Amino acid sequence: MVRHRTFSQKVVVGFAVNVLLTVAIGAVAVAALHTVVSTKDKVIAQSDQLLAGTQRLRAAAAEKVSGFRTYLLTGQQRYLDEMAGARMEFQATLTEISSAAANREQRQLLDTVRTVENEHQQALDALIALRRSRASLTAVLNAFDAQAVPRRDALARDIIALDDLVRRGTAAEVRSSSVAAADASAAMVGIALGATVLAVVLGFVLTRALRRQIGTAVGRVQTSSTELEAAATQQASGAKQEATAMSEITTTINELLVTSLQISESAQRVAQIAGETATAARSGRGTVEQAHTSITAIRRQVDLVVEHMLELGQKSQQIGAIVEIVSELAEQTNILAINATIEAVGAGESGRRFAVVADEIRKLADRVTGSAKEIRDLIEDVRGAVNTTVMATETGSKAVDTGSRQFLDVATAFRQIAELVGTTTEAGREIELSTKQQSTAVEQVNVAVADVAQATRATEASSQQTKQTASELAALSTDLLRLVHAGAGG
Amino acid sequence: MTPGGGVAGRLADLRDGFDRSFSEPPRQPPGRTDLLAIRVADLGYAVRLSTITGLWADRPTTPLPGPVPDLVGLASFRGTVVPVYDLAALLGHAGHATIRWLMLATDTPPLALGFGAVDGHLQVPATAVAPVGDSGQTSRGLVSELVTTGHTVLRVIDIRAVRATVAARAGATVAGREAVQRGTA
Repeated sequence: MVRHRTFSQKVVVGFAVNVLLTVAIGAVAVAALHTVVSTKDKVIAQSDQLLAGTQRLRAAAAEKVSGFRTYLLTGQQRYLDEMAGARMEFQATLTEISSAAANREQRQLLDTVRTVENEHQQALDALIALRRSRASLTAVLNAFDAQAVPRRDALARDIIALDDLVRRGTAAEVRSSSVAAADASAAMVGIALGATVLAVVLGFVLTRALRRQIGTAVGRVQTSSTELEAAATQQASGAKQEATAMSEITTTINELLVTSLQISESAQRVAQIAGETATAARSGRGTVEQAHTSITAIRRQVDLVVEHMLELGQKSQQIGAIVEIVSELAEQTNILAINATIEAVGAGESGRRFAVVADEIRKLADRVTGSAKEIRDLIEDVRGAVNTTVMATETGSKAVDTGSRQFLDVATAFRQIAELVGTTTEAGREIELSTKQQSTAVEQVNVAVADVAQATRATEASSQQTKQTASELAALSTDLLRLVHAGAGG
Repeated sequence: MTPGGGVAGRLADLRDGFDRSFSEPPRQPPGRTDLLAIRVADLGYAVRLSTITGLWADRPTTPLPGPVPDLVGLASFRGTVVPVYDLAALLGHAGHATIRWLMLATDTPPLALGFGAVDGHLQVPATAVAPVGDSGQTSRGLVSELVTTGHTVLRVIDIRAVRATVAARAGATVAGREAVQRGTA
């Protein structure tokens, strides 16, 4: 717990404990003295009261007896009154003493005194009555000796016994008070010794803790001072290097400023060229769109060509069908001619002229067959050419479609080029603006770097001062550590 | 010469030849023989026109099941039902040749022969036709002569030998059926 408190708290706690112990010792001493004094006062007061009471009892008893005797001798009422006053004094004193009785034994003895006094008074009253009866003095004296004197002696003994008892009680009270005072003194001595031991222990513990913590703190301060000195040295070196770097940075920033100006000029030229490129791209886009229109027209013409070619193919097929009919007719004609020739041959000489006609018909049919074959071949050629043309046209159509799409792509590309060039123009202008802003910023940075260089020099000076202060602090901590260890050793 | 001019020239030649054939007197060079060039099983043959009475193409033929394997069926010629025989089978060519053409042989009973194609009418000098000779036992003895046309030599089918062969096969078949019928009786 002490370890986690501050020095002031520990010192305050130590002094507080000592103060508390001192206060406790004082309180105990005051209480003991008060008790002793009170006891002594009480004992003395009681003793005084009791002793004075016993003396007054003895005096009152004596005065009472004296008044009685005087009455017996004189017979005057005035002495009876003195006797009565003495008795009243006796009883009042007895009552007073009874209230101040310290113990049971005293109160019993007081009761005995009261009883004996009453008996003595009764005896006296009887003698008074005897005296008043005009009895002889001798009889009265005899009665006095017989009745009053024993009781008077008993009363005197009891009063003496009371006086002795009071004196013994007083002596006992005095001894008891002395014992209490001695006990209080012993307690005070013990408490003082305990407080002294505790104060010594607290002082030892506090001194040890403070010495350890102060030593540790001083050691840390010394270490920190050393580190601070090293850091200040390093900071001074760094500040020097930083100053050198700042100088280089200033040179670089100047070069950067020149470069920024060049970039700004280049960006301006880029923006100008991009604008010209955008104009060229728009022109190219118009050209491409015109070419695309032409391609579309070509596409329509190619479709017409394909349609006409297909129609030509269909016509060729129709011609081929007709040629087949012609060929069939030629074949049948040939058959007829051959049959006619057969008939002519069978007819002999009479069928010779008919054979000539049949031969001519056959030749005609052969020619027709040959012509039909030529037509068929031509039609096949035409159909082949048509097919080739259609295929070539379809290929051309596909090529036109591809070209059209490519032209669309090219148009799109030109549009994108125009957009990108526009973007490039904007970017070039932004670059130009940014470069100008950058130049301004670089100039500001140059000024800031100059300020930083000045601050670096100030830092270097401050580091030197810090180094010196750290060195002094290290020496101071060494001295303090030496003092702490020397104090601990002493 | 343009195609149009060529066609017009050919048309003029054709018209001139046609007119000439009717304007000139009929002449038949002596010693010439009329033949019909045909194709049987893709082989060129020839038949004397004097041995046939007619030529038909795509004539419908009704198949006739029977014991004679060379008999294709029956066809009608001018109201007469005539048996049609496969000329290729008769000549001994293996395989089933396509029959498109029919020719009707002379003499009786009527006989039609079927074959694949007609190459045309040939009119050759009599000297172009020569007998086959002793070593000409080709085509089962149905070819008796050879005719030379240009660079081509065609075998001339002897229709009478063909008729005899058909008659022999039909007769043998009839004789065999009668023997079977007698045996059964």
